[in-house]
Amino acid sequence: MHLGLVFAWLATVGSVTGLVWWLIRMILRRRRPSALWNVEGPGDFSLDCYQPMSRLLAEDDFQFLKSQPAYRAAMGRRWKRERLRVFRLYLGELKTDFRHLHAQARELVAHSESDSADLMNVLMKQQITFVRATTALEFRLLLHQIGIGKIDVAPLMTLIEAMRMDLTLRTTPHLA
Amino acid sequence: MSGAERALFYLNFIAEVILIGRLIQCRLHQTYRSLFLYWLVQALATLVILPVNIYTRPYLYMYLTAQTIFILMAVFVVQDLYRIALSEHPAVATFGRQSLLAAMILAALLALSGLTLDSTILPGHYPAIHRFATFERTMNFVALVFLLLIGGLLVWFPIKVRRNIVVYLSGFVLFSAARSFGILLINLLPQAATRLLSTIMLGLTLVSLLVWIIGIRPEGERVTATPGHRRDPETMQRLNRQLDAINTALARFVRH
Repeated sequence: MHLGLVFAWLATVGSVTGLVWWLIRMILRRRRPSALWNVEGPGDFSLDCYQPMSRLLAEDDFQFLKSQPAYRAAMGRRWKRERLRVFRLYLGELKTDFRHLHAQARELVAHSESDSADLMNVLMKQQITFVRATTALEFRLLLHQIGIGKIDVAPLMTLIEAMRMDLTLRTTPHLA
Repeated sequence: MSGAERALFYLNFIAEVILIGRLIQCRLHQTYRSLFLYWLVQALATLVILPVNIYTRPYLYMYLTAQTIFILMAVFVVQDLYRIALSEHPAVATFGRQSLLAAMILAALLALSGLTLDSTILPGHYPAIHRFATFERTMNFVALVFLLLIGGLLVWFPIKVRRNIVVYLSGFVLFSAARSFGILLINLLPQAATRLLSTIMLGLTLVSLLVWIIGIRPEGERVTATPGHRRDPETMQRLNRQLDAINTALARFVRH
């Protein structure tokens, strides 16, 4: 009975608070552009910014550090902690880029005719897939932090390459 | 009724009449028909109920009947608001129609989850009125959640709508929140607090009415949508490819 009441309060006050928080957060986020973006849109962010990610969690660097005569375990722990922190910063920027791309797509759909309604479902699916993927990645990073499993950044680089190619395709007609 | 409560009751009636008059004067009563009808019925009901003694059975029956009508009308008002807000965006409106039922179900589920909050009837409270109040606050909560979801959808896209729609939505959020949580507190607190809570609720209703009276203007009908955005299939395809690429890469990244 007590638990039921707690649930009832959470559903009533929690849902309204959550929805208001979600609204305010979205409004504030819209007013705070990413450092990688400017007003021109997705064509202007620098893909070079993501290049260091491939090296951040690479084992080679860590093995090299380990082979040094002055190496101590504390140094290794600090090295891993710092690398993870920087990796998370890059991942945060990647999330921001996705949000901007998605926001631009939504804006296009919002100002288009009714025959674009099916695109809404596509966008919704993409959003869900993205949230699921980033949540899983955050979980893997957490496991990696405590020494379980490895994270390969190669697929992320494939993504960056795909984005770069797409950008090239986008800019070519303008240059012609 | 205390002096403040009575004063606010009459001020609310005056504000209702002013709002009706203002909507007609600005020729917006057709555009915002549901809001206009809602307050017109409220004002008429006040006129009918005014001469009846407050502590009599006929007053109670009239009050319960009127409130039931208002609750049903409020559901109509929020649905109409949803339709008006998305009417200038056909693609989103189609999606909106599809998601309307889902949003209503979500709002209803959340409201039903809170039903048990005031299941205990305190001494001095009338069971029939208490149960009706639970029904009323639940329906107001459905309207509130639904309005917040509409607001979320408008900000998420983002869709820039007429200023009047924003005023309309904001006023109704305040009104629904005041009714929903005010009635909940009335049911939860001892009867001694009812008068104070009723006065606060009347005060908040007056604020909502003032928001509409001051905020809804003829110039607020100008669409503030971002200009220059037309359907661009190539850009849309590119964006879709980019978004898919990010998701595919992330999925592979997680699997490794």
